[in-house]
Amino acid sequence: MKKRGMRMIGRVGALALLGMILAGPATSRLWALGEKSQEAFLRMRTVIFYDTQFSGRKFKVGDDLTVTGKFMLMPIWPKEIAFTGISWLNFFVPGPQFLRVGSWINDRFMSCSELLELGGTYEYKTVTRARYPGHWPVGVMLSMKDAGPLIGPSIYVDVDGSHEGFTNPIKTLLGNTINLEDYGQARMLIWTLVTTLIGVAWLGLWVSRPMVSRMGLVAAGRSKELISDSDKKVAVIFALGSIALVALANAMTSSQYPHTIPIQETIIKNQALPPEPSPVKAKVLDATYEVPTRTLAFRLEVHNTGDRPMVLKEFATANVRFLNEQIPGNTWNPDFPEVYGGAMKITPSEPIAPGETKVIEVVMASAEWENQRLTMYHETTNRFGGLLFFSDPSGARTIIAIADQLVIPKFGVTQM
Amino acid sequence: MAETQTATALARPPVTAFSWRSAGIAIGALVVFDVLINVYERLFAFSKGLDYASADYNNYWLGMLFAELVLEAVTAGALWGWLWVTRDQALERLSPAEELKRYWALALFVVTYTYAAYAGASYFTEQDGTWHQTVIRDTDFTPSHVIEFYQSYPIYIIFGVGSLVYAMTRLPQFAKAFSLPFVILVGSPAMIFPNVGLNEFGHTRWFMEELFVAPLHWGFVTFGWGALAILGTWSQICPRVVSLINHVYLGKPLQSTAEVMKDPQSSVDPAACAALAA
Amino acid sequence: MQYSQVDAEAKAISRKFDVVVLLSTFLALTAGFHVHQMLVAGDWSFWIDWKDRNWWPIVAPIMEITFPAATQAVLWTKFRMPIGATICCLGLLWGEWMNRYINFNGWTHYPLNMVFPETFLPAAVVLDIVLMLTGNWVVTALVGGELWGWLFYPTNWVMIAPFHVPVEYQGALMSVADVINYMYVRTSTPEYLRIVETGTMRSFAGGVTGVAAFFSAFVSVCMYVPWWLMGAHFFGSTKFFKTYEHAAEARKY
Repeated sequence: MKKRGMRMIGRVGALALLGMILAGPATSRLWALGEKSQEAFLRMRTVIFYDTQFSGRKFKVGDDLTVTGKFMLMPIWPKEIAFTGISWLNFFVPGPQFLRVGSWINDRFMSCSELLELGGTYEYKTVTRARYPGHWPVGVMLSMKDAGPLIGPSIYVDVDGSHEGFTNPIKTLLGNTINLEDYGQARMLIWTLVTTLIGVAWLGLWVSRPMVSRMGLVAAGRSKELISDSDKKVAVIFALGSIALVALANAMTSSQYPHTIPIQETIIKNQALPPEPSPVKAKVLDATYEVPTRTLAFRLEVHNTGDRPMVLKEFATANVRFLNEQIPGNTWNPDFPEVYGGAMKITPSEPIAPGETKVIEVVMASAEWENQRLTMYHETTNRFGGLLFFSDPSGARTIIAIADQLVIPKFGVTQM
Repeated sequence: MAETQTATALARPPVTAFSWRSAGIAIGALVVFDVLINVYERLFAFSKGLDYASADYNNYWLGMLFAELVLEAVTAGALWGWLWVTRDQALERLSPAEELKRYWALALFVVTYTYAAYAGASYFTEQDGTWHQTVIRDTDFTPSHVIEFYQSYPIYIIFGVGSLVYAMTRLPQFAKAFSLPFVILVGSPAMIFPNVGLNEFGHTRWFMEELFVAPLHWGFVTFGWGALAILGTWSQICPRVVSLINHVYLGKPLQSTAEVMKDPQSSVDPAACAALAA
Repeated sequence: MQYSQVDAEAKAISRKFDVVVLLSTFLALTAGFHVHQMLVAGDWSFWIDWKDRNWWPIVAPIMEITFPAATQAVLWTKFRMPIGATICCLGLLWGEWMNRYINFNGWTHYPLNMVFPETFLPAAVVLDIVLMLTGNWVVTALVGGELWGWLFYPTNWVMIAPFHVPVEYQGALMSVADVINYMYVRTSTPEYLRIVETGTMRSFAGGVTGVAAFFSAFVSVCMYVPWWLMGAHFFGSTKFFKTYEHAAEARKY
């Protein structure tokens, strides 16, 4: 009866081993946090991260990795997703291979969750410290209560060295310095062992006796024979001894740790950055997504209220960036942690003059719409979002959010 | 007790009939397999399994999922089918010594099942917590689910149902009526597997984050309670086993197998097995 | 001579069945109890910064008196073995430690001091002994249930007290446990998911733990009763239902 089971186990085991052998060193590039599983409208219309910078890609154990950047909570939050504002600036890493040394939103240390504002832009900084060697995906994200993980850019980093000897000292308010890597561990192990031994001893006392046959005596009404007076004495010692041990250990604990505080739990309100003066007003008039050519196109009515000519430099959404490469120097840098969507074509390409209002057509043909699963023509809501980056000749930036724009898919076939 | 058999000149089973060997091999193989699976997970879960849209995930995890599902279905069909085809069709004539040997085989089958259930419901289920609390949930068939839901659960179901079929096809006590605790012991944890459907729908629809105590998970809890039915199962088996030992070794009277099949409830009367303890 | 040899053989075989019964019961209870515990009280068990003085001492004891009560109902009533609670809690602890050590610590690298489980062992032994000495499950529910609730926090406080030492970290007041949560990233369990004490009790000047234990002990008493009854009459039932022939005959009409 066991043979077949074992044969199956053998087969699966062999398959597992085969897999390991075939594994080899083939590693593909980043984009590994599972963000593609989220619906396109969720990624394009909730939180958009920009200006993200990782301080490096190669580290030794003990080195610091700093991530800085900004994010905007889009002004029109999709009704399909809860907005609570209760947020935790999160850091993606598969397990604490990096320690989070500190994270700040608008220069405020985030010791607990924060209440953020709809439509607000926030500047953040996260400092982490390499703890285990390896090839790790790391990234920023904002977790929001009831909305879930809203994922920012991520990269792969390599950490060299060894965890051996790694310590994480912090100073308590009582003045002593403790190493969080193993603080309290010996005490916990000893107490677990002592209390477990009480249980094992008690269990051993009984399982060392015949068990199955006791049923007969119980059924025959002779159960009293199964528990002797000395058993009862031992039991009293076990019970009182256990209670006394717990009481004694607690008394000792109180004297060893006279100053303790409960878990600290609250929510801090954090105000958004003050809005910057915006010399541009822009509104999408209509948008289409052409399925066969994988092209998102929209007509944008732009009104320049400032005194300098403005150009549209970039469209960013869901960690994908499209650049207007007709502008000199506005090209892709492989160090960017986002995905390069490709060139953004703008017609007419001339800057929008001061005081001018004109309609421009923005066309982004890119395989990334499909690769990153940012198309919506199979979803229940066909509205996209993202950030438009305008710039004047000095490089001063104006950011306009497209929060909630309907898009019509063009399938390019005539159905009978 | 319509019929009784007397003990004169009864053949005792050889001592080797009560060997641990088969369970040792089966549990040993499961332990080795579980260790290998853990090694595989450590090597390839974080490195190849974080993004279900990647080719790596497809090669290392989705392929494994399909392979294991096919293997499990084939193994389950083969094992259960074989147990059924080779069933004992003359249970009324089963000798007490043979019956006792079969109870030992059943006991080893059950202990193998409980090891597999431990590996699935305890070890790999909490391992899934380790995974989810660490990474972003992106697919129902995430690496730890490929191992936990679609591998460790079917394995214990194969052994659990196998042990029940073994009992129903080879032991008079279970041959003619359903044992309530045994069916719960096997059926209730088995329902944890289909309950994955609720879990996945809920996680896909509502829960992206990992609160382990979320009510969505309580289906697993309720079906897990069925493990307590091991107590009732042994309460049914033990009296018959003790009676058989008393009969085969000590010559005490024994209720016949035909009688047991007619009224299995009568075979769980522990008063009948008091002799050995005396 | 011949007889005593047979006798010894019979006893040896009976003992072998003892071992199988105990081993399989231990494994099955570990499986069922652990999956129950991790999905009704698991988060408090996984993380040091969930082990607060308000919800943890309420949720953990009342959710974990369940399997012990049901197991006692069979092992005591049918076998007179006062080990029902102890075997359950040992199984649970073993199941938890296996994963905390191998996976939380060994695989994902959380330090052990962040992920060690609570223990119920002294309370479980006491619960078994109350049943053994009184022989009465109602008294056990009342006395044992109260002791179960009251013993939980003191038993575990010995281990978690060091993690409640105050720290000023980056200008914020945090307990050591909070700092551990902060530094040792767990991506899919953001801080706001924690179900821990917020604000304070409205009276008693922060005497949260005692009130929580008092409440927990009361609910433990209440939980003990249905679980004993389920153990005795459902999970521990020895019923056979409907012979297959009866089922077949019933289908004919």
